[in-house]
Amino acid sequence: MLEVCHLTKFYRSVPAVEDVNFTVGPGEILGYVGPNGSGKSTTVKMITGLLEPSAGQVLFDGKNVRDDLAAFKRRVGYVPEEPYLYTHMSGLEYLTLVGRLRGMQATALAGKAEALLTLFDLRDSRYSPLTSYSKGMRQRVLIAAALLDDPELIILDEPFSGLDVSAALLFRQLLHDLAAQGRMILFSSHVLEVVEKLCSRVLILYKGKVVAQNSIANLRDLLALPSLVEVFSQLTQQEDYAARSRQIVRTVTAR
Amino acid sequence: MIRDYYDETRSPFAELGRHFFLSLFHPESTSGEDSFTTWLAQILAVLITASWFLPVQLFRRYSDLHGLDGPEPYRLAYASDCLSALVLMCLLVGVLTVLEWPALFPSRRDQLVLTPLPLQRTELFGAKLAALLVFVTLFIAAITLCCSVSLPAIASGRWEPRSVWLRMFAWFFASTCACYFVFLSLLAWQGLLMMLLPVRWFEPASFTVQMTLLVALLSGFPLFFYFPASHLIASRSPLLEWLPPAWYWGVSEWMLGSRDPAIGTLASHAGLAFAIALVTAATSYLVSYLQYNRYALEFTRPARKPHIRWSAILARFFHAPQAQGVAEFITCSIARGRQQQMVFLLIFGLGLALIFESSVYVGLRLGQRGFERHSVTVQSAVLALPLTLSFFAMVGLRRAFRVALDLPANWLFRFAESESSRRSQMDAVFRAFVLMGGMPMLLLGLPVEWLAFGVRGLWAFPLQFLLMLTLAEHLLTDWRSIPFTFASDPARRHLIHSAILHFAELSIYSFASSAWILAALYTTKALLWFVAVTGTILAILRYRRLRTWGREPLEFIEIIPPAVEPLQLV
Repeated sequence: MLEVCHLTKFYRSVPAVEDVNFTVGPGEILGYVGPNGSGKSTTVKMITGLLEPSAGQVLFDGKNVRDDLAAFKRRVGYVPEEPYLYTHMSGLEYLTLVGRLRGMQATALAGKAEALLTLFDLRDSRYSPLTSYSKGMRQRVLIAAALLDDPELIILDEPFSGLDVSAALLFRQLLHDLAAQGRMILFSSHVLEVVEKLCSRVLILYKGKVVAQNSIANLRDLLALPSLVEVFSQLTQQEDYAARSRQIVRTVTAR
Repeated sequence: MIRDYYDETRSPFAELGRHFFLSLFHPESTSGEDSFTTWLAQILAVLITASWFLPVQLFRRYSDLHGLDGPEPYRLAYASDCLSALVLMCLLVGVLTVLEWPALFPSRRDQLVLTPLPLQRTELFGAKLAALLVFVTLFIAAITLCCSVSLPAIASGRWEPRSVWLRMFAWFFASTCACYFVFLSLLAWQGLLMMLLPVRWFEPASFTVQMTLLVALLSGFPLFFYFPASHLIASRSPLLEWLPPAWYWGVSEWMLGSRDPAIGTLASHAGLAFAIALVTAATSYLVSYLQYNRYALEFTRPARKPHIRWSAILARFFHAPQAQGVAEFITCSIARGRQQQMVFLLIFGLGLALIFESSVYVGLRLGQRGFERHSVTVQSAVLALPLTLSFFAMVGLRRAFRVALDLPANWLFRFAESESSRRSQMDAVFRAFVLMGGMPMLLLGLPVEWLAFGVRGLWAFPLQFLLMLTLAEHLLTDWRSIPFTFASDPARRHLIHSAILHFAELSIYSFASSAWILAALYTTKALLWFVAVTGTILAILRYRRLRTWGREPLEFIEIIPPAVEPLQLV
């Protein structure tokens, strides 16, 4: 089980994330949502060890992950927010690099990398440099890389970004199947419709603080609102979109 | 107020021209955003500081020449100085044009970024050409104006009957034409490649040409000091007809009233060559204008499986998967990273230039005394050859390692970093450094050593290998990064400071050590001393390196989270 306890991050004295607490159990998909700049990616980076928290801790199976960060990271698959890849490498070379850095043995790695590229419809392009890949193809490479070493905890930061409809449908089903296999999944996203369909629980972050954490059905019932989008709007004090939209149109059409 | 007026009235053409002009100060082929301008400023500062020296020397020289009894020595000296200066100017313009090589035509990036904007194709091409011409004109003016005034003025005296103003004008015209000729020729060359090759072949072919030209031009600088200008002019050598700067020297002489048929031939060569370069460059610009969409539309086929995977071969030298990963990453990056290759070849090209210069020096010296394979000079030079090459290869490789590749993608290495694998990863860096930088150069030197020493030459290899390992330890003492995953500050150490330090290292590593190895090949005492001293230094450096490697965390550039960046707090 992943337990995030009082996780806090300050940049100088400004809090980016403040006192965040949640857990993700085996077979669970936790939706982690919030507006831009609310601290989702900062939280994810602290969990994955890319950023050091100012306070609080992350526990995995009861142990502080920072006590043995390397061992923890070996059990984690991570898809970052932006498809940052070494674009001079081919898809196959990139997966091989990821596998080797994770300590996978060559024979197991070669077969698995080829198989995953085939299953993600990247076989024909596996020797082409990533620079020639579309955004969706790069995203699929990142997803394949995250799953390559059979992680117990999967952390996804905007994983649907750039995926076409069929790839998105495949990936959604894949997440269900992985959760059914007992994997823990932390799913950070802006796409609330997907979060609503996919996640058993949701955590809403606003200005670095948790403003709600419950099952989606409970949240809807508690706030008496029909959808997660409206729950989200209310909790994150989203403004009157219609008024803002009219203002934009006026600005665009002004001479 | 003027700025406000300018901002208000700036047309899309002027805006584009400004964008292209400023981008010429940050060529894609150099590393880091400010490195090119930083280097340029550092080199210019040194040149300006040293520039008082040359006029003083020239003034003394011409004073002596005008004090002689006849005009012939003066005429020959003036003519050869003009020709030598033209050669130097052509080399300078050549190097600048080669450094700006990817920016000579609207690039693929320009096409993709600017095509969706409501710009006319003529504006794009016109602005690019205008920016390029302004940039080159400024550079050419900077090098020709000063020389056009100073050389004819300093050379004036009693044996110079021609008007100083006429000489200044003739020299300025001829040198400007020579510089433009070099620029237009290189532009035409790239234009021809662009016209004739498919898009997928153009980029690698163009890069290969750029690198070859760069190394050739860099090699030209030290050889410049051996350029026999006065001999060529005095002997009326037919070689002058094959030397483009000589054609423009002919133009200058013809403008000054010389009606010598040989001068006329050189001047006519100059006119014809200039016209051909101009027409070819203009045509290629026109063709690239007409084939505007070719870059964006040409279909790229998926790549096929490579026949030889060098990265996989190198990875076999390592046991731990993490080390294999790092080795493969380094090989892929150095094989495909254009900026990295450029930086490496810039430094390695200096090494080649030094070798050419030394070869010419040794050749000329032995030419006077007769070539003897077993002479100490030849044997020392043979032993110094692989050492010098390996020195520049390793220094170049280390500098190339510091040029970041897809910096935000280093999250992968940061994510995978662990104390247990750090040591093996850093060992992979060291071994890759030795296998890719020093080792091939030592192996290249083996046949030459065999020729110079016979079987004894093979004994030089282990000694050179020991020395090369010591240099590798020295160069990587403070290294704590996976190559290409961080960027160094180009202004961290002044270029001249680095050059002086490297010269000191080279003097010990190559020049002094080759003499010592030569002695070690013939006397046991020297051999024992060499092994003992080098082995001790190697052991100390290795101990120092391994004491910290694997214990301290690796260095990465910390990417500021996008959500925090607008706050400008870090």
